[in-house]
Amino acid sequence: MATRPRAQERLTDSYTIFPKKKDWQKTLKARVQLTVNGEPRNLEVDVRDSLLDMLRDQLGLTGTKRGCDQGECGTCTVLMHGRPINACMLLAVDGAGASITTIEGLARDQLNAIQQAFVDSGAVQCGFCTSGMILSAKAFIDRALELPEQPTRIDVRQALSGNLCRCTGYQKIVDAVLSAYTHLHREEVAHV
Amino acid sequence: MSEHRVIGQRLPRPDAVPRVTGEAVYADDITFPGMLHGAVIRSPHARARILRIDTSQAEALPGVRAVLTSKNSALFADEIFYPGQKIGAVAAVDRHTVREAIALVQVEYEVLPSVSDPLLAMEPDAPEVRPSKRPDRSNVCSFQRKERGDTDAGFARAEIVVEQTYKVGAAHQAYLEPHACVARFDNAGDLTVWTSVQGQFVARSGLAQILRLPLRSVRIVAPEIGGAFGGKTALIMEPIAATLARQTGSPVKIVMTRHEELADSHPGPACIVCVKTGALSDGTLIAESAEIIYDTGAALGAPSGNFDRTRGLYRTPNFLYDIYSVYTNKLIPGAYRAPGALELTFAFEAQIDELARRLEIDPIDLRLKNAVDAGDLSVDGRTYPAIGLRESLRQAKEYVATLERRPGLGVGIASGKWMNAIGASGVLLMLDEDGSVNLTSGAIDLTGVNTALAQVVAEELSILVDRVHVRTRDTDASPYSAISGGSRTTYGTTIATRNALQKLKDELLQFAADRLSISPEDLELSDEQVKSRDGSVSIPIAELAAAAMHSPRGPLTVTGSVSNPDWLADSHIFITQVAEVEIDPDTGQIRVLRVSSFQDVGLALNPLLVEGQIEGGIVQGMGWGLLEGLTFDDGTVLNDGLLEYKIPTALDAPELRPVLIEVPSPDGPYGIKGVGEPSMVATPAVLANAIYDATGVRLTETPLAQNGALPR
Repeated sequence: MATRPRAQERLTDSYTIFPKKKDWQKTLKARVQLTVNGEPRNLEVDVRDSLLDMLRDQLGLTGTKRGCDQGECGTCTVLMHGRPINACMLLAVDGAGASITTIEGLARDQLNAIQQAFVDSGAVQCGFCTSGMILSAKAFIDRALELPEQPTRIDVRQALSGNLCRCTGYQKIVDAVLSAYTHLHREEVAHV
Repeated sequence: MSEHRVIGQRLPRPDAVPRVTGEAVYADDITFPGMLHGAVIRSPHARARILRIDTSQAEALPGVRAVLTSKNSALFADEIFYPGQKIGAVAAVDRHTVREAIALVQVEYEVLPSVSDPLLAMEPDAPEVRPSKRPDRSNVCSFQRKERGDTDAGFARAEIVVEQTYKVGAAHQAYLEPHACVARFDNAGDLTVWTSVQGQFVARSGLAQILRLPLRSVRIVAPEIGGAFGGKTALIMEPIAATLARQTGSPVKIVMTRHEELADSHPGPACIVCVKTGALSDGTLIAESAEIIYDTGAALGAPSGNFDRTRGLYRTPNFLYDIYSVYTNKLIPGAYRAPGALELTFAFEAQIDELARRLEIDPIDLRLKNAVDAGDLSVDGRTYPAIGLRESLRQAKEYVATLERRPGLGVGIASGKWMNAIGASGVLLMLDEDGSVNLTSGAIDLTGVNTALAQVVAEELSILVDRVHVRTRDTDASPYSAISGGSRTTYGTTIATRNALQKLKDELLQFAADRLSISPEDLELSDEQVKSRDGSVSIPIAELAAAAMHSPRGPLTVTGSVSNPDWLADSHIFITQVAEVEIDPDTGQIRVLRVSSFQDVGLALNPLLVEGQIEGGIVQGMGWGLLEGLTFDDGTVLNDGLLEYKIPTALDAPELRPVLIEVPSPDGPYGIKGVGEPSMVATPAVLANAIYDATGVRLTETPLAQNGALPR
């Protein structure tokens, strides 16, 4: 018999098996306080749950997607203190004290400029990468607006390289991000 | 100038809006109180027999509600044909518990000899995966021969012969949404399944059959689908979720992990093509022969029957093609966007490039010299109508002439072909009392088809496009539709919609004519009104719709249908691609700078969406050609995560130039042709040809790059 890991082990090895105790369900709970989309939250979570599990299962914020659950695809991207993170790679308990923005926190009465640019540019196909893509784009544009130079297409590609898209070939996504940047930059200049 | 008003407009998809706000609902977003989570138990062995399964520890785990194996469910068998094969399933109260329970299932196997290489599998003494269909070779799943003329005589006349073996690795569709489904029985015993599938009616009949339920007792609801590309045509987890739901009395959700997706779904197959091409010294193709071997894994799945859909680009008078699919103890492949086309194009278009190089003829000129045109025959003897191959080559030639050549830059050319299907579809069209239109379709919208249908309705009824609401509804609420695949969806549903629109127009004009006491022939639709052709009278469509509802006539509701038992349309899509690549002389790093695609789309109903299809297809083709390929160890998939199985990121993807050529198809509505699939068929070939142009190295296996660089 070969000793290398085979299919079954490798299909299950990303899940930690906890020691079995009588009161196992109680010992696996913890309380977490954090801010999600501007609202303070105080939640009891399973300590094995990721931030993604908490957002989707407990808060019903299903706009954040689960494409791989191992930090490879970027569909679960949310903003933590304004910076993009993979929500699947952070335990919910480690989110204590954080300020999280999900896709549901972007549009209030109308689409924001990035969302509108994604729609208008044809940057949305199946939509499964879109939430994460838009949040990565938001973090990028927020940063770019503070810099003197215009971002290039390569800058945009670099910023989105942690968010996989299988439908669009990225062309219209890059178009959308630059178009949103231009729109927001113009607005900012007009305000000054 | 187009004679159309709404058709041909670059309209953004209205259904993009819920996707940018996170409101769009996908299968994994659906939950019910008391819902259980399911997952499957898998074999680690390639070929084995189960001697004993002990599920007692798993069943004893708190929170576990059901364990299925061959002992209590016909869904599972004791004979194992590939690693990762499902041998049982568990339902439990949460995701953690279900995984924990699976690890507690004890299985004793008798491990049997297996074979994972298709060439070894064809040897006489190879372990038998399944009985061979050929007496001379083992493990043959299917065999076809395509033949014309006298190949031996052709090669005897040839002044140059190029012979090469090409290998294309298995590639995963890597849709970002893993397969997900939720199954729920109601108290009456009726089943509803929310699932990510390309064909909800096919899923319904399959489930009804497997679960021995009447068709009427099964309802499929297809929420938004997070990418499919051919990979969501088969039932995978739905029968298991439904069986667990039936057994436990609770709704059950199963979401495949990314590991499971890569290890046991239905990717595009690996393929070996041994091909010999003969030509005269002026470049005239004279003979070609090939042996094509698809690795079909543990059951028939490789798309070996699509040869005529994708070859037949050149007037080769003598040919002989033998096409095998061969069983191995590996996962079962399936359809991946233009199934069968990309691997063949990779081989045959490299042959053309190689001939051109050796004969010192421009590769585009060599293609133009041999390219088929209207009146020529396809491989299976279909007569081509007007086609766009020569036009795509001419435009590619003009573009290549504008490129500035420099050392390290490679420019590649490749052409390709595909035929789209029609299939069966019905639509239901209702004119509401405010003059807006409600179109219900049963076809899953993968590509923006519902946006295109809204344009068609607006065009034909002379109303504004935002007055048209097109929805895909579930199998209880919508007319039948075949799967969304084969580049048929827009093609087929547009025919059905136009049939419905013709009826609606006739009824609307008749109703108006009766009210105005004039002949319906004297009326026309224009500016949201029914008007007399002499301009003397007009009635808003909204007023007529409301009036009809409250008259003996009743609501204006019609249906439209289409079917094509032969499946394929008379729609021959040709493309030519040009790739510009740059090779770092020190590291061998391959950078794809730009890919231009000159694709005959017949007529672009919505160029924004058509471009999107082409752009996405190019980068998928680039992924398969340059970066992707499942790797196996004794049949087990080794690169079963998206780090190890790397698909193109925004940094890898080149700039894309889709160029739309419009040669109308004879049977397509408005002359449209299928768009989604053909976009990727030529991309691995064009990249290999561009790498040859830059380096003089002919790469014959995908993935072309190893860690992003030329193989050493």
